[in-house]
Amino acid sequence: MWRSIQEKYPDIRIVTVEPSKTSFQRGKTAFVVELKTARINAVDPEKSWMEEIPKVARDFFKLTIQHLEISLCDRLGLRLVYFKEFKDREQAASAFHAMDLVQVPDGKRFDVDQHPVNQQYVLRWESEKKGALVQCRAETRKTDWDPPIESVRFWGPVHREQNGIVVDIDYYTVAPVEVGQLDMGEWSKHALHVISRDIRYLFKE
Amino acid sequence: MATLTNIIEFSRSYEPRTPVGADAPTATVEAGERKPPETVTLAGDGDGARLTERNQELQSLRLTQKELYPAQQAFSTEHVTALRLLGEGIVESKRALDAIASRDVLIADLEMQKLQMLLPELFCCRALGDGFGTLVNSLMSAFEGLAGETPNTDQMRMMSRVLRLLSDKPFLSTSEADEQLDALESVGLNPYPAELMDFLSSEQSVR
Repeated sequence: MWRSIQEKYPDIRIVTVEPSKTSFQRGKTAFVVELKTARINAVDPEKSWMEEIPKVARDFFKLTIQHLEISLCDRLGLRLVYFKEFKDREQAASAFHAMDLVQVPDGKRFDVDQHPVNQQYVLRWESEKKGALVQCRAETRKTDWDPPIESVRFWGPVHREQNGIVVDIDYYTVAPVEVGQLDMGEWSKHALHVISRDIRYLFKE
Repeated sequence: MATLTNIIEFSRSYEPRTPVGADAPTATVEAGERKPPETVTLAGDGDGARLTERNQELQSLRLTQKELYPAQQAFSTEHVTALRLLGEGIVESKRALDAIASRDVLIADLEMQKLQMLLPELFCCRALGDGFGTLVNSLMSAFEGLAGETPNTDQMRMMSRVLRLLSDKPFLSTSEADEQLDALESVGLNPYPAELMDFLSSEQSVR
């Protein structure tokens, strides 16, 4: 299977090979096939990649289904995670508050004078056939990394804190889908359209 | 967001169904500018279960094409054209069957001719998959093999069944399509192009 994927994308490189999981990488995109799941995962995708995703998805899932002789998909999912950075935790919290998604009581609460920080708002819609989970949260990300002694010449330590708002949308099917019904390229275009159409309520557009 | 006070937690109902993997996202989105997301995960979970074992369950639960592809603006040209033509073809084959039931062979013949006229355009949508192309081609060959004769009731039923199958599963595999070729043959239709049959029976093919 991987050989045929490599024929389509010769610059793909191996990351993990285990009996229950194999993963490959091409630029910022990971291709993973493990027990019960096949997945494409992209971090910091370029704008052009978002246009390319239907084609990549079509090729990758078609070959996976064909080689592993899958006849039924239990679930399809598209998850998009957006992050907007703010100067500090308080600014992220006040930006979240300004979105007016949750009602916050004024004044001192739980013996704390300050306004709430790292707020979170979660909604799930789910029927017997499809579902979506929307999460919006003010988040603090801490990275503390010291390079191993043999690598200190090449890399310095990383100690960084990022504050921002995360919007995380997971759109998925609940009912099974026969492979004859499915073209992941087409489905991803529809899923992207539905997400970008319906997520606007968060920002009161 | 982890709580600071450890307790035994119940499983959280807001756990996403699509895991993003171990990569830690790092990018930012600038204000006022439309940017791509920092992480995109596209997943398909399959256990390769045999359809026959789950047929009953599937019929009540399965997603239809409309439910699976709900956004009119997101369709590719081939997909939306194929669904439109298949819809028309199904209506015409139903009208033909109704006409046969009321012994109006002339109307039945007219409706089947209309169906035949749709097939070349439908064949132009074969980018949907090899299975799709194979089945549309087999219907064209079947009509050609009839040489102008009106298909009988069983043949009409079978063609209608093939159109319904294509409408429900336009991305079907070639092996699934091959099963339908056998079904078309079983009602006396010839789903193979005449040129192919001539070539296979000629001396040229033996060499």
